[in-house]
Amino acid sequence: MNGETPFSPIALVGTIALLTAFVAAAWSFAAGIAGNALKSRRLVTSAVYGLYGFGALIALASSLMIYAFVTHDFSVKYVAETSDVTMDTWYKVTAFWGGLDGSLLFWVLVLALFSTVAIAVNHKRHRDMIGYVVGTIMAVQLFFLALLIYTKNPFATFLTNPPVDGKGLNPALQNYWMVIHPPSLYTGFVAATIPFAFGIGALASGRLDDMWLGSVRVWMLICFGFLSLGLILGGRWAYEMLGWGGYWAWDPVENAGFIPWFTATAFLHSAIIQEQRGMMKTWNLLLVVITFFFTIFGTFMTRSGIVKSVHAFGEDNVLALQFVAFLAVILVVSLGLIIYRQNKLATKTEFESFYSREFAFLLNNWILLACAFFVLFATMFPTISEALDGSRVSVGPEFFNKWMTPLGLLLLFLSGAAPLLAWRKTTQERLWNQFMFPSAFAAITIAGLAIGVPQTRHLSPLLADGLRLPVSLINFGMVAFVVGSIAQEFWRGANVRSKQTGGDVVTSMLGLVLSKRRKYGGYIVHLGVAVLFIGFAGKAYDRMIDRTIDKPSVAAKVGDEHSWKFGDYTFTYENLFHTSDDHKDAFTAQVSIWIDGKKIETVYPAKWDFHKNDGQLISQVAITPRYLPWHYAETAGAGDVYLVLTGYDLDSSQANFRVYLNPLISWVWIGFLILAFGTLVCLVPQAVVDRLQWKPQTRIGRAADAGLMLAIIAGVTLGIASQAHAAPPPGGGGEHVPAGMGMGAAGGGYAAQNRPANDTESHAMKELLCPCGCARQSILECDCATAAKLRAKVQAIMSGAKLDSDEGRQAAYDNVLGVFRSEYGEDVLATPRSKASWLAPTIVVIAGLGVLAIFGRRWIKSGQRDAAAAVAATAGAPAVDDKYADKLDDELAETDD
Amino acid sequence: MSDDPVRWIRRALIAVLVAIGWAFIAWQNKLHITAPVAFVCLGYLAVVLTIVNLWRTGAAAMAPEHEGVEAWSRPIGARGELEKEKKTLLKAIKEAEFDHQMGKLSKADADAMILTYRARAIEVIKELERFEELDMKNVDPAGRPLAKDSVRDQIAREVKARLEIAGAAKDAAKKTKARADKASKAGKPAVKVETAAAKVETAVDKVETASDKVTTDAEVETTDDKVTTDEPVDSKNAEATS
Repeated sequence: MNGETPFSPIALVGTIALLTAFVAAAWSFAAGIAGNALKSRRLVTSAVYGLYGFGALIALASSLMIYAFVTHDFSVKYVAETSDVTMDTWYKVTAFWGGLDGSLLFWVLVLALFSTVAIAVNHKRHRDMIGYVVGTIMAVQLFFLALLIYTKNPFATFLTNPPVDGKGLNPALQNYWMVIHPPSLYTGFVAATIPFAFGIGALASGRLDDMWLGSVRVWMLICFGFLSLGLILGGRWAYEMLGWGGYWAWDPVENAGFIPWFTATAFLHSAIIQEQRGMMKTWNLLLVVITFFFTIFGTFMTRSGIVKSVHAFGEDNVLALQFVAFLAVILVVSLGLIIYRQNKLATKTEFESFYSREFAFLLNNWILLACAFFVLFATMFPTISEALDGSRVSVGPEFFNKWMTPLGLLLLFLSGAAPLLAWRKTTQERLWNQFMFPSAFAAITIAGLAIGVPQTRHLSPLLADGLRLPVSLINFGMVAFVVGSIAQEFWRGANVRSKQTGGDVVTSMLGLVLSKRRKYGGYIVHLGVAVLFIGFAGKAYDRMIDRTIDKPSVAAKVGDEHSWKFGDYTFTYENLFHTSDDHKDAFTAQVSIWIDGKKIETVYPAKWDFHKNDGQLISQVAITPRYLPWHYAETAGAGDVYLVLTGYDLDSSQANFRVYLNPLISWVWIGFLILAFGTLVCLVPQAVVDRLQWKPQTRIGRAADAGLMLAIIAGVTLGIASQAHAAPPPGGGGEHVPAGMGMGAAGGGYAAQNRPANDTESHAMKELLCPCGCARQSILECDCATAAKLRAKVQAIMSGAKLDSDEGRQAAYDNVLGVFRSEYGEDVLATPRSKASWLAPTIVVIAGLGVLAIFGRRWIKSGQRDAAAAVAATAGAPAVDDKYADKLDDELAETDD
Repeated sequence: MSDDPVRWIRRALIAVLVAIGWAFIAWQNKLHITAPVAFVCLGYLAVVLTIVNLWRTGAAAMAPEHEGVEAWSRPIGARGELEKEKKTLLKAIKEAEFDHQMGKLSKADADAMILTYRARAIEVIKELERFEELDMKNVDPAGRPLAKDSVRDQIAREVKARLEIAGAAKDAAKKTKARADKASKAGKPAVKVETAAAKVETAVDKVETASDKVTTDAEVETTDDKVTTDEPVDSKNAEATS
């Protein structure tokens, strides 16, 4: 601590705060569990305050960490490695979670804040298990805090002189989406800890009635909402920042958030079966445990380096081992408790019919778990194959899509079919009545699109290359089915309520949504999912073009050498700029977009070269959304016009552009907003609805209140939506780059070189992954020199091949893949050829369905037997005493609809 | 935790402490609020909350056990299960009616379902009424005489009864001693009487010790799963805790 050794009071106090927090967490953990086991109220109370104190200490440590960032305390290693003096204050704050050490502290902070709220709200309601709940949360906190203190202390300081300036934050993270995407995803991950803690609390205390389920369901819904938000924001970030025209590439980090999303969704459905029918207690607890397990497993995947990803944190074997030990403890304790409490969890599972809502929920659970398993398997497959035979294979997006498309379509169908089914059983006559409108709507949609939009009849591979179906057409049909189903549910429900209350249909619909908000909020979520699928379907119609233009001209006109045409659009390359500021050089092209000789937009795609980023260029994509009705009139199909500057030569001003026309992509963002709205409706507290029911007494007043309530929810949802336009104000019409910024430096135009001349070449290039170290892009899409060289190689192999028959095209395709495989290894293929890659998911998915069919039959037989016995008992029973019948009617009248 | 009568005063003091600290930080920075100042303020708030909560952590750990209104276990005995089943059945009837009106269930199916649910709901209501009657009569479902309250209340009554007996015995001992004193003053042999009084006092001590032990056991037994789930539950308790 003398003048030669760097000393940071911030680091010292921060480390003391972490150490004190560790002691507080250890005390809370021990006092909570001992207090609950010994039935000592004082110990449990102490544990609860310990948890609050822990939260305050972590808040202190986090405040100090951010303070170190904003005051440039580079004696703290983490600050020096993830920030520099030139960064904006916002990015200095977000640099807090921009690296591994800080992200772990951020995780602990979010869990501390969440658990404080969860315990404050629930400590009285669940006082007989709250000690165990606090103990479980603190066990998780202790693990992460131990990592922070012993392995990844963010307050560690340099032993020698600190640097004058830091290295700066990864430029890819210096984006406004990165300000909100990680917190929302982390919040989703962390929120899964609360249901897990309540599940463990219920198991440990033996209080396994339905009371814990209510609290757990709400927290799981919050987990679902934040995971959805985190995933979609991540998608938006990738769309704007990575410049490959898409929003989802099945990257392991994306998948890490998607797997618990599937299991959380499965829980939200099966929990309804437990609430309605008192069945599946063990299954629901398992789903709670699995969801939590996957959140930790996802963290393990992205932080241990076990999988290779474009934005994982790097390899760390020590951390990997620590995570594996923790995951093992989670499994042993959770499954041990579930087995120990089997006598209390055992319930008689019985269904009366396959055509019942509860059985549809079971099917939904099967598909969601199949999705979770498949994504997990495919993400881990390269690691598994490397461990088994030493050869690392690649699993590209194409492999995921071939599997996830049919599973997704099945799920989409169920999200429309399940609401149409009644609980227990739906007779054939009723089935027809319920399914007629949605099915007719779907059939008309399919027929209309097949006739009116011939592109929808395009055959795409499903599961395997050999199986080709009009996937888009089926997709649109399913979307229409879901929309029809949900619309019918709302319409009929509102009519029934209108008859019951005497109100008009609109008032009744608002009342219906609020009084049965979990059900109808859920339907809105289903509608959001259907709209998301419209966006997914659009992916099949993406078009891409690469063009190299030799010179810009401010007087460029449509049709001259400075312009190029793509679809209904013409682009003119007008200028090239190079500007610099404190932390980057910006190379910006000015391009105008025209339709039928009329300029519709001037955009500024750019490349940014951050001074502290070793030459890695960051794309600044110019996106022009065109979705308004008149846009449809102006062009054959509306969508995003996505322009990327892929190469440039500052001396000659030559520039290479890539244009994507992404039809329907905005439906992805719109679908998410609907999903978020539905989730918020589900989360409206009963107290709020009760207030609405009491005042005012007039029908118009009630409708106004309900409308206001829904408007507030819609406002929150649109608030999220507004973030989609929270980019820095565009200058001169460009999306991100202010007008006047320039560009330059050496460039290539590789993206435009050796483009495929036919479908077979294109198909083969799409199947081959570029080995340049990009985000597992195919050589068709990657804009590097290596990809251009490999495309030439594909063309050379195919030259002379007979492509005039299916057999010839297939042989040429196989030949290309064979040559590349022998030269570069299995790793070059986007779809692994190993039998295990197909066999394992197939076995699991089919086995799951088989188990469901076998047990389903058994449960249904049992259910039908019991139902028949109940009917017989009712028939043989003496007439019911009027007194009791009246009493029952009174109670029914007081029960909420 | 929330029964603390001075909690609002304490919260106000904390708020004042935080406000003074923030004002001092702002004053030190000449009211120029920058990002570092904001995070120093947050850090100060965290320090205050840390001290308050860690102090309360220790205070709660050292405080005597307080088992009052906030009993450990919520009542989820047979009666609680019946209440839950009734609620589920009522909702099922409503849902079946709604499904029928929506067209998901035919009238015959809906009627058959509702009939079954109603029959079971009425059975449950009868069962619940029986519990109420048993509460009135102070007997358990098997007809055994029983206090209507929880096991702890029963044990508390038992202890009280024993203490009353002990109190009566003490009174008797005092009376006997008084008689012995009187007798000695009168010159009568008092040895036998004094011995009897001492025996009675010893017996009283034993009963009191036993009572203490029973009270301690009562706290443990009350929260035991088996005991609480097997016992009928007091409706007031149920309302208070659910």
